[in-house]
Amino acid sequence: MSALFRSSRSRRSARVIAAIAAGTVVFGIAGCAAGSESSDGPVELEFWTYSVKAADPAAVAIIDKYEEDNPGITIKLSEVGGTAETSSKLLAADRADEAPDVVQVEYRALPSLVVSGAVRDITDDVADVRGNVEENIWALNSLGDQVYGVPQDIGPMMLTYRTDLFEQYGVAVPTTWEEYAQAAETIHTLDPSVYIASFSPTQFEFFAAQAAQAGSEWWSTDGESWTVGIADDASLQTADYWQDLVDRDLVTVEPLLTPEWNAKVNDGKILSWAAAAWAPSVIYSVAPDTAGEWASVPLPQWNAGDSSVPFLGGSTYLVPEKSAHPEEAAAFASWLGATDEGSELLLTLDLYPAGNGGREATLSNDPPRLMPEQADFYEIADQVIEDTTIPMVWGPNVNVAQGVFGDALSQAALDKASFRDVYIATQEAVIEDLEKSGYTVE
Amino acid sequence: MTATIAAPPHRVSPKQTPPKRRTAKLASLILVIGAVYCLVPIAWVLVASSKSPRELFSTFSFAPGSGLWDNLAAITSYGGGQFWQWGLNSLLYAGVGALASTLLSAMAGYGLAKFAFRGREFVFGLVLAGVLVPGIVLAIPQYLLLANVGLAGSYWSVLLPSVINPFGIFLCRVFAQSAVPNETLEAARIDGGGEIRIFATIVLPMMMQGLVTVFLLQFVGIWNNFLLPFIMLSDQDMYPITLGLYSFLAKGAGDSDLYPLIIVGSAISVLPLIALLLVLQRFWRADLLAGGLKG
Amino acid sequence: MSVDQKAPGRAVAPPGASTSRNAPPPARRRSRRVGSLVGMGFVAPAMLFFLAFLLVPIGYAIFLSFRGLRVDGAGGAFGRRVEGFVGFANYTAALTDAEFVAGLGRVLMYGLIAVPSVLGLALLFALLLDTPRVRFTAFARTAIFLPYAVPGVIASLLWGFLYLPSTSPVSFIARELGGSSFDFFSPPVLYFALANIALWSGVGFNMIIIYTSLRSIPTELYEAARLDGAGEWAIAWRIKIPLVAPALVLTGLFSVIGTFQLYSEPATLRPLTSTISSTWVPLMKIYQEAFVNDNLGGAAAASVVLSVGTLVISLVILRFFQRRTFGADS
Repeated sequence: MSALFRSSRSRRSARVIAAIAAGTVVFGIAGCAAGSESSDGPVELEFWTYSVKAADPAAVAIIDKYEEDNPGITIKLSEVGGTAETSSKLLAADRADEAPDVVQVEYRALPSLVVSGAVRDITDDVADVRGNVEENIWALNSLGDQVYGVPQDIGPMMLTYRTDLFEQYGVAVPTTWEEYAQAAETIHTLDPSVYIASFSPTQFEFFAAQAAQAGSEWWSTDGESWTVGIADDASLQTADYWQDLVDRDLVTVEPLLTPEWNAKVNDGKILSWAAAAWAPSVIYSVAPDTAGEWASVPLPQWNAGDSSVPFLGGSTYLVPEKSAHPEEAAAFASWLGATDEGSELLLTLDLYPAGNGGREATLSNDPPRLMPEQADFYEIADQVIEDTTIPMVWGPNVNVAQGVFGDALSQAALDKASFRDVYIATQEAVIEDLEKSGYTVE
Repeated sequence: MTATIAAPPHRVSPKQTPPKRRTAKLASLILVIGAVYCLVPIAWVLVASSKSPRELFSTFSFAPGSGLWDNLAAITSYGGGQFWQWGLNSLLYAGVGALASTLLSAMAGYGLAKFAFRGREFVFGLVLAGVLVPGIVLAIPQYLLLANVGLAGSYWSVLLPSVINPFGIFLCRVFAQSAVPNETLEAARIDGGGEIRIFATIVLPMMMQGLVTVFLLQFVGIWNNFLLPFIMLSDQDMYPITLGLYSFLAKGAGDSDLYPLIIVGSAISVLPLIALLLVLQRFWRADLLAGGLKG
Repeated sequence: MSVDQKAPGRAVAPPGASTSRNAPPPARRRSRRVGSLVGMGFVAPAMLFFLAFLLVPIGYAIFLSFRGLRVDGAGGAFGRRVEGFVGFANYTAALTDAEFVAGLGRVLMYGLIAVPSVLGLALLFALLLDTPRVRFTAFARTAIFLPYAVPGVIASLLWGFLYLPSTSPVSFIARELGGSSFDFFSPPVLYFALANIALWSGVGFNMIIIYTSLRSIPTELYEAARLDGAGEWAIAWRIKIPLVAPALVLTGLFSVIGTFQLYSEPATLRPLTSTISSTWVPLMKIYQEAFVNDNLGGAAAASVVLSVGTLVISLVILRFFQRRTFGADS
């Protein structure tokens, strides 16, 4: 937690004055945005983000650096909220023919924003920095061959668990989901108040990732029409798996990160979290006293011997179509997410950067505060990224799917009803919505 | 053993006096229980504000904690004093908005009550219908309208829609009807007063108690309104307190250090309204006392 | 001017009561036109705001309800959605949507619990405050009214913490006594938990309205009744309650309207539990359509349906109590 006693606004006004003075002398933008059309006079970029917080000195340092290197540009940080709030505000702003300049959202929100016409195609703008990020990560930011966002961070999927308590219950680290289920049973039998993990029905992306890991493609397209696979066999098998765990009361059904959940993690009643490389910092923020008792390993697999996983979470910077300064905005986004310099700086925000430079830098980083003794944390994460060959394609109506799925699964978990039906109902709703919008569905 | 309250002695039945005393005790008890129940969450939030993040989830709900100053310091310094900026914003939106709204409602209520013109009932019907519309329906169209004139995201974007107050107009019409006698108006007009002068110097003072009510209702309504600023504003420095605390909530999911801030923020944010209510209670008390004396 | 401009201590008549003494005077023809213009002049500023920020948005929302986002065909899988005319499609979607209808059902269920409770308690407290020789009236009146000052979102938050097992005093005590935490969020307790928040927030305000109305009843009526030997209960039942009926209808009406517009309590509590879906009440569904699914047309249509339904029910209530309500025209 940081305490910032100086008003960040007065600092910004001072900077604006300096920028104006500098701007009257210097044309255009220096540094890595060479080649883009420059505008006269100072440019203020409005940046909607939940990761780069004005209250965080590390974040302010990043902004200051860019502004120093690019006189004539000032960045105004705005914390609009999470992905859901940001998306809806962006759409409202777009309708009103005004928009900010750079907007951070999670990857899964990108397609629906693109098809609303609110996002600028930045394929050309990022051509310079293309090589600084792996192609499998660019895929998360693209629809077809067009790029719509610059990646900020990614979530290589990992399992974060309590080493001490696993040992206490005599459970080995699971490498397959079957072993995971057995571990769940062992733990819960030994102590009925303890669970291997929670089951949170509204974590849509997690279930999508589970199905993807099993070989299912919830949305796929050939460029002309969509195919929806939410209820295909591989996916339904994952539904059965979780149904089994919930029915046998081997996982606790509740939302994540509520005071309840936090308390259980603190008290050792929830022993693990199958999520991604960003999980340790989240756990640390709610259960700092448990630091030192955790470790992260690659996610269990559906088939023994496999090693591939999808990404979970992570976010991207998009440039709205109606931004007043699109080139400058794209330049800034490219610098922050896709240059070595920028992505290394992102590391100071406790993010797992998507850019090669940042990823490289993690290898020499100290491990996360939650697991100070796990020296190989970042190596494992890096290896996981290498192994991440499963693409996640998000359709244009993820929101609809998320709503229907979350509600139905919550109800089914409560009633101990069929999870299969939830998946099937979600698929039907998604297809119906796509067709209603006028898309062709196979 | 006779009651001291007036009841003609020769008519008192033996059953009557004891039940009266019993009723009063029972009535008082029920009222006190109700009052205490209403105070429980407020008491809770005040006590909880004194707890540090750890104490919040581990100690009994009403046991005071040790972290009050820490929490106050944390919320003051968060974002460079942003919380207090939010408080000022709330004051601005609610104060100016309620003032403007009260004035316009007073004018409209007076006009509806004391003048006959064609379409008057239609206008009044519109006013009542306005109460039925949920805020969510209006939010996006209002945003688009204001964006078209370039005001979206400014202080005006929250102030202007807040001036509407159908219930206030309704109340003002009622107050104008009952508190302003026609003879007074006639006399003032005969004396040569202009309409606006009559309104300002005669009508407004007569309606004052009602106006205080309308002002209070609108002030509370604007202060507590969440959806309108949520849609209109994207610059955090312009958020009112309710929206600011909500944004804490939205961020707080992953950061348990924010929960104490949310709690102490909530505690602080309800204090001005409570203070306002307590102060303006006097007007009601005078009114109610007068009502009691009136017979 | 010799006219006494202030009339201190003048009691406020119950809403809706108008005596001929204070109704607009029969105007002479010459001054009628002037009076007419002046009247319109006073009403105009408020009406201007009304027009700009209420009527025009409503009109626009109705317009939107006939529009929807459709892909323009040429873009293939990533075609852009554009707004176009879709006729009544949004209305049929809203009326046939199982979730929307279920939400209406829940709101009705909630209303059946909440409205009588709020009104009943408000009436009870108002009557108690008006009973002779009652103590602590100032304290009780202030304390019960205080929750009105708490914003809906914060009230839900506070009660949320009081319901959550890890911070709830009820669960704490239960655990101390050896039992398990009480789950306030499982249906059907959930309805009562939500109604409780509304109760806590709303009783004070309604109580004040009814109490003000009570206070304007001439005390001669009570004297006469006491002379006849009536006890406090009889007085309350036979005199007070019938005379505050207009205030009751008014508060009842606003409670019903508020019930249909239930939103902030379930929305604020939703992240804390899995028993509240994202479309638990109609307004949450509308919010989701508008702000999450980018389906403004659908949201607008659903809002129109909800508003019309509320209007119809309000009219029914008013008509039913027509004889008791004088002057509250609609």
